[in-house]
Amino acid sequence: MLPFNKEEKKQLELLLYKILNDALLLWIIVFGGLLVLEGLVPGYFSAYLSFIKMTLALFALLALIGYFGKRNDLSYFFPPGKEILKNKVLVALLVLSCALIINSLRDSGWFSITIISVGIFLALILLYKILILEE
Amino acid sequence: MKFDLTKNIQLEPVWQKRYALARWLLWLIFLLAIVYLGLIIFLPSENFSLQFPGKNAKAGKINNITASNNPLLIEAFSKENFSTAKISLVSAAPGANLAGQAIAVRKTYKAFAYPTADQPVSSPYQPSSETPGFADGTLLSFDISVFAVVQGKIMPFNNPDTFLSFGYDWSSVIPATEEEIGLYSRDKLFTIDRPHPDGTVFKTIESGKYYLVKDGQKWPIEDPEILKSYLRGQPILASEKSLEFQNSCKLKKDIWPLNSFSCEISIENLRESIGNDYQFFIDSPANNTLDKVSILFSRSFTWPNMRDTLSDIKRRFLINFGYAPVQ
Repeated sequence: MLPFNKEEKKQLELLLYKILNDALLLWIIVFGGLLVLEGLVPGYFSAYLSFIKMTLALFALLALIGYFGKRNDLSYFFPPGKEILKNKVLVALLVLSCALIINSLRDSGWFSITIISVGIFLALILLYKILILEE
Repeated sequence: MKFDLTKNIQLEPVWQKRYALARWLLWLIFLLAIVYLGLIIFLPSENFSLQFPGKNAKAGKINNITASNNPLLIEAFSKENFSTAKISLVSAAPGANLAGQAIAVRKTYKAFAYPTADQPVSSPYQPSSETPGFADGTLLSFDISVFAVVQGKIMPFNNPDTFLSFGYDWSSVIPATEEEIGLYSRDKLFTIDRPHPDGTVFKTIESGKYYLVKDGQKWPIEDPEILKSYLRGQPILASEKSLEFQNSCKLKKDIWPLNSFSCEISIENLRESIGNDYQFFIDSPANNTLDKVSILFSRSFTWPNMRDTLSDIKRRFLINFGYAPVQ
């Protein structure tokens, strides 16, 4: 164990918290990019990479961020109401998700497309009500 | 760096410098990881290994690699082209010395490597009165599946790449009805490590000779009428040159594991060789026993390899969006 005093230990944990957040951003960019590529050329990239392991690593990152965040009373600041929709990262993730869903439905029948689209639409409305309209 | 998800968390000046350094290291690690991923994806290698069940090298089969003991022949099946093959042997007998023994490799079709029969096929194909249906070696399609008729049963191909790796042509596939398919019982999947079935007709690209695969031999077909009776669709193109062992290496003892011997063979020139069966012959005395054999096929960073990969990606992209047929 390194001989840190209490204040240095706190600074180290804050540093780790910040680095883990940076790693999370890079991981989302790389993972998202690979998902897009896999959507364009199905089966090619997944033959060499395990998306399940990458997802588990993502959860592990989030768990560590949550752990250090809780130890230092840190949490994400959510802008109130509709301000959250101005967040660039969130908008980018929403656009990416829509593109991946549309690509995956390309070869589906009309019935499947309708059911899935209605389900997603209802889920989004519910999320909007819970996260944005209700404070 | 502008992207900072934790702008609100301020560190002391000393720790801020450490954070800046850590951030650069993180970016460097990610960059190196992306380069490594790129190498894995665009220059993929394939690893085959076979653990022999007993002390003596017997016929075994795991993951598209087989071995037989007479002579010591190891076959690894792959439709891809590679730059080098590193073969490693682990001897079961302690103190056994395989150093200096030669390993030769060729790439051909398993059935095309069958011994040539002494006489040509003398009579045309006669349908059997006892077993109705199509002759062995016929390719049938039903729904989205393609089947090969093998010894009175049908074996579905596991994927289009396997079908194409055998040199088959889509135009040779006969659409069958449900009743016709129902005449046969289904067998296991037709995978890449299977030989061409009996009834297959090869044509050599060098001399234009035809051969019929039957009962573990290649039978020359010299009579055009006999050829017509056996030929269903296009013959499988094969190369007489693919039967030559062009490349070899000599085993050297590895530092670890103990009793392990390996050597690396350049197989770049086998790219032009027709076939999906990499056959390794080991000039080994009969008393040698093997515990394990593994073969690592690698690709170098060369333009032909990159071109193959990019071409494959482009083909799959076009197939995915319906701009190209599955071939």
